Amino acid sequence: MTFTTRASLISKICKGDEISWQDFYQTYRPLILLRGGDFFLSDDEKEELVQQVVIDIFKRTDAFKYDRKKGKFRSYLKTIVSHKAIDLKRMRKSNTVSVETDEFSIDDMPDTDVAILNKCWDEEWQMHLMVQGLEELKTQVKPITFQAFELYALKDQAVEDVAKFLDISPNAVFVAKSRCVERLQKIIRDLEE
Amino acid sequence: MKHYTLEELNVYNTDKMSLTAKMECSTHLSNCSECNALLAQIKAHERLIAQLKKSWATLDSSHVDERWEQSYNQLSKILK
Repeated sequence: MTFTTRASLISKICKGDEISWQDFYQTYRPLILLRGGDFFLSDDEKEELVQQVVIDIFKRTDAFKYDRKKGKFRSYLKTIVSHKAIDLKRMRKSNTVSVETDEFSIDDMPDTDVAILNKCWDEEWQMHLMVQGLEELKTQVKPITFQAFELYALKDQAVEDVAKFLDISPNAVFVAKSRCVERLQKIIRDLEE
Repeated sequence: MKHYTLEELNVYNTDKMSLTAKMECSTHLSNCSECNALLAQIKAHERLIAQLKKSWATLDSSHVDERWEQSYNQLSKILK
């Protein structure tokens, strides 16, 4: 488990800052791959999905600025990923000999399936926010506070070992954990808006 | 009434307190809303940390493998 120091991309998107496709790829690839699993795509298809989503969003340019008038980025991304995933499934069907040749779209899916897919996306997005929030947290607290939190809470090191390593009291380790979690909750709330 | 500290309640929560100390703490908690509130907060924090670990394990974006590089290189050619 390693943490980068770059500010969270989602916070840049929220602020309307320009983002590069490289940052987007690095940050959103795991989320898109995970989403591909919801549509039962193969590993190769999931990779293709990542490519198509990045190309669609960046429209063959290397930077992108999200227009907040389009609504929440979360919904915007979900729509693009879902449509591309369905396109890939459709392509798979047309490439195989099958009696089921009817084309389908998300609108043709039963409500229960759509509800399940939406629930999965909500959970995946929540996980994405947590990972992004963690990166943001690192930029908002003192290095020693984050280190205490990382070692004790995230890497499960014994409190005595963390305290000794950082030359602080065990109580300071617990205080760091408490502060980091509270700050993280606030960051996630802000990112959700 | 002497209240328990954040450190003591964290130790209590991780089940690393001696049996006697744990019994004393439990008795205190049954009568102290202030310490109960702090313990509830510690438990809530632990739940969030568990979610955080799961999220990081699932969506670790720092992992770079052959597929990552292949895909990155293809995109580099297209998005110039």
